[in-house]
Amino acid sequence: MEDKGIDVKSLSDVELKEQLARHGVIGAVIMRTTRGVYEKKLANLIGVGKGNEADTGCHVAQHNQNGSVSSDSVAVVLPASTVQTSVSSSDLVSRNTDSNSDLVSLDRAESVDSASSNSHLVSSNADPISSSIDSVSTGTDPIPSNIDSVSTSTDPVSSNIDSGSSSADLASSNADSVSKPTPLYFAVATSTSTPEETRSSLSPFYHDHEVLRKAIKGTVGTRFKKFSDQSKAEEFSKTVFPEELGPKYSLERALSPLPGVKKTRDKNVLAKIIQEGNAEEFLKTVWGNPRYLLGSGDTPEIIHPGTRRNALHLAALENQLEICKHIMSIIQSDRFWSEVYPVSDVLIDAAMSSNEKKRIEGIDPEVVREGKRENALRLREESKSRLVDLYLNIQDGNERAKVKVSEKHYTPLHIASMYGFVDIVEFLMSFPATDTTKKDNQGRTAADLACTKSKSKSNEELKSKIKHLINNPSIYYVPVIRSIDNSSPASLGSPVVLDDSSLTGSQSLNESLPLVGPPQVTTSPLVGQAFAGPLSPAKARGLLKEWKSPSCSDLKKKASLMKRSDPDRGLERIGRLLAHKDGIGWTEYWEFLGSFADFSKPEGLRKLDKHIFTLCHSAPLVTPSIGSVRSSSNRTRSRLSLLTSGEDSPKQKLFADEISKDEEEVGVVSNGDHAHSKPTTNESEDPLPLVSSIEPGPSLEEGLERMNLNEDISPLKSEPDTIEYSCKTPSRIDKNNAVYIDGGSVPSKLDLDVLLALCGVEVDVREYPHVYQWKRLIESYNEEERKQWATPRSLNKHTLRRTEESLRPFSPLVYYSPPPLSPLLSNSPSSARRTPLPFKNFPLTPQHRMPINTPTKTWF
Amino acid sequence: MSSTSQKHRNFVGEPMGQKPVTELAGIGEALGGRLAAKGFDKAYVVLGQFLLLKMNEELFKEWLNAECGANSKQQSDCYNCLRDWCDAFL
Repeated sequence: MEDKGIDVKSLSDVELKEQLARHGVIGAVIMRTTRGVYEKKLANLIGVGKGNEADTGCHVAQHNQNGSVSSDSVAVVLPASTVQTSVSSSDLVSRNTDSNSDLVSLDRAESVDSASSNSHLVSSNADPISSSIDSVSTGTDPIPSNIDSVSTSTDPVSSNIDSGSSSADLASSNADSVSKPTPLYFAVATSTSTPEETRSSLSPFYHDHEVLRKAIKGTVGTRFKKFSDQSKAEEFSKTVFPEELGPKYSLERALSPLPGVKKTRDKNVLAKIIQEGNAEEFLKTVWGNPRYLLGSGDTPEIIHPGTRRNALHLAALENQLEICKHIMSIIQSDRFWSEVYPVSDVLIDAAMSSNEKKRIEGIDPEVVREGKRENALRLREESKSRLVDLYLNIQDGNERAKVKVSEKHYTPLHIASMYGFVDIVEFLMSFPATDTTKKDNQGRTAADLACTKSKSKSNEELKSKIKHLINNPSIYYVPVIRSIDNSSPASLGSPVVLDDSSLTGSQSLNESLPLVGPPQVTTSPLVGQAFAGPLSPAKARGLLKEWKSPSCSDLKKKASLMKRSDPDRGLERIGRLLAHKDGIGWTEYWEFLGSFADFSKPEGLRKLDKHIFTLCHSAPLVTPSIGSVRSSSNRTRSRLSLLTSGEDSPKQKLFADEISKDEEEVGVVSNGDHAHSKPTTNESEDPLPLVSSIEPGPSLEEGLERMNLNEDISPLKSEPDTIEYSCKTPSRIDKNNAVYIDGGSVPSKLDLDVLLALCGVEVDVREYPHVYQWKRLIESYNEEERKQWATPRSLNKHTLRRTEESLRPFSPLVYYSPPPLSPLLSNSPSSARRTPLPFKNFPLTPQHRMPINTPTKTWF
Repeated sequence: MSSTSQKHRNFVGEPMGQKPVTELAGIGEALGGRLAAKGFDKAYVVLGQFLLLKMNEELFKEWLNAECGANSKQQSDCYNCLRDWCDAFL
């Protein structure tokens, strides 16, 4: 049968192979299973195969496939010429999918009795409709049409009603199969956005949908429905829908110039890059087509189709922290979004449908564009946060998949936790959007899975660390940030993550702080002055918002007053108020304490009490270089305090306090540093004029007088009269004997601040005798007086100077608390060491709170 | 261009292991039954055939048609499925 006379079938395997090779098929493997194929191939090549394989290409319509047509609920009108012939269903299907979106679905069979009658309108001239797809609402309640035979579909109704105009379009060959036509009423309902003239031009109902279609063509927001009942149709036509329904997504959204990444092969390339951790290549690839990270519907692109894992899943799986960072930074970058959805006038214009253009005729195109642009940008922001959320929380696997084995429903966090990749877990947890409560197919959270697949099984430490990281997501604090020298106004920071330890004063943080570069003169270091928390991320944001602009109106007034009248602690006062109102934890930094405290809590009060107590007793000790007069008096006082401190009875203790307060006052006055805080400040460092210049405080004479008096009583140890005095006349507050929080002898703004912080707190005289005393003292001043109190500026000055002196280098990005304060405080035994609060980056990437325990890391 | 089917993605997403032949895209109950009857009960056996035919599209499709009467869509699905799998795992 062949030109060479070869019977393909009779060839041996080797011969067949040779023959194939001769015809260009090199290296064929001839085996039992492959032989048949190769025989055919050879036969083909030789030219023998006489149409064995020739498929006619025209399949007979298979009725069981028609379901796929109807399921699209797209009505198809067959061109009249083709109606009579049997049309291959596959042909129909393919056409259907091609023009899917272009077709307006019209279901007209609803009221026709005959179950077999089905309407199929093909709008092969889809143009007029496709352009107005957004304006014409699709047919209401499409009933599943039970198509028995595509090829014989007809529309008996229309052909009966309007046989003249529609019979050309509609197949009517089998019209006789359906006997009784019912008149149909197509009613049009408008929406509020429908122009008035269009509305009035519409008739209550139409008999023919073609007419109707023409009438409502190009009108946004109209919908129509068919009725068999005229009154119902008229009723429907009176309906006015509120606004346009359906998705607000305008077409400009759909216009991304970038093709999606559809090829599994391309995705595999990216997967491999991620696997290798080749950050450079990764960036190149992704920026080459950002669609690698953005799938259809603005969801993460599935890079690994089987497990439905996206890039972040894969990066977490491969422990590629670098890649993780890149992914998250890319999808949050503006560049990414502007590449995916560029906003340009050309595109906006192009995106406008002709109908839309008609509608906005007469309006300044620039205005329209502006609106569109805004809209597009807003949409972009929305999609951005959504995408971030999806990337962090989307679970792999497919819920509907038949094979459940591989469907684990892991989030990236699950994966990282499972394999014990602490860095990745930490990174993922740094996003507020990360949801730790997501469960896998067996209901396990990421924390449950910690280290279950880790290679180093024995690592309990790692396990607990991961668990800790995941289980403590709500340690977010809203900070008040101040520069230590008050060079810039205080502000509220976005929520940060703080370790508990940093608030209670662990010193290790200080050491672990990265110290980069020389001090910058221009950038004053910022410190977190106060924190509200811990809170969940959402609550933290809510508090921040409330804090910035309280929703309650009278609080608003109060807040703005506080903020303006009190630059030093105004923000804190508002925050305190809010925090206490909502029962949120509150803590603020008190320089005199050297630590964080909340005075509304017993703990804070104890600290304050201790401070005042220590202040009283230690004051003389911290004044080593003083003038002769004061030194002698101080010596007296220290002696006195030694004597009195031996007493145990409360009364005597009180007495001792009185006395020591007295000492304290004098001691500090002579210190000179605090002279700045007095209203009549003398800048000179010379102690003598300072002392004499003190105006509101006790005069020198008075002080000396008291000193003498004290000196007199001191040998008596417990002088009855004095005890009497301090106990019997508690109402009389001896301002001369007073001690103030900043250690000065005159009340300062600090006292007021503390008093305000104490506001509303009942101070128990037995538990906090010192605080009680002090509070009474401060309260004895009236409002006016209090306002006159100056801020203890010396403290600030001091702080700054010491910072510079110590030449402690710091990075301008790193926040930390100022180093120890005045010698007075740092020497006092009780004042805790400074608690530095380094947190990084939160002004840079407001969405991220950086875990404070990894200050050396910069994510981006 | 339409995207690949779910079945395709499931198959291509992971090693085929002991998956039955019906897991292949384009191979349903009917074709799978026919293939199994001829000994191609597991996906990897079909893969073997696929490889024997040197991943040649024409030959493989031809073979599939001859073996179980797959139509052209089924042939393409199955071919693409195996090719993508090989791209990913070979």
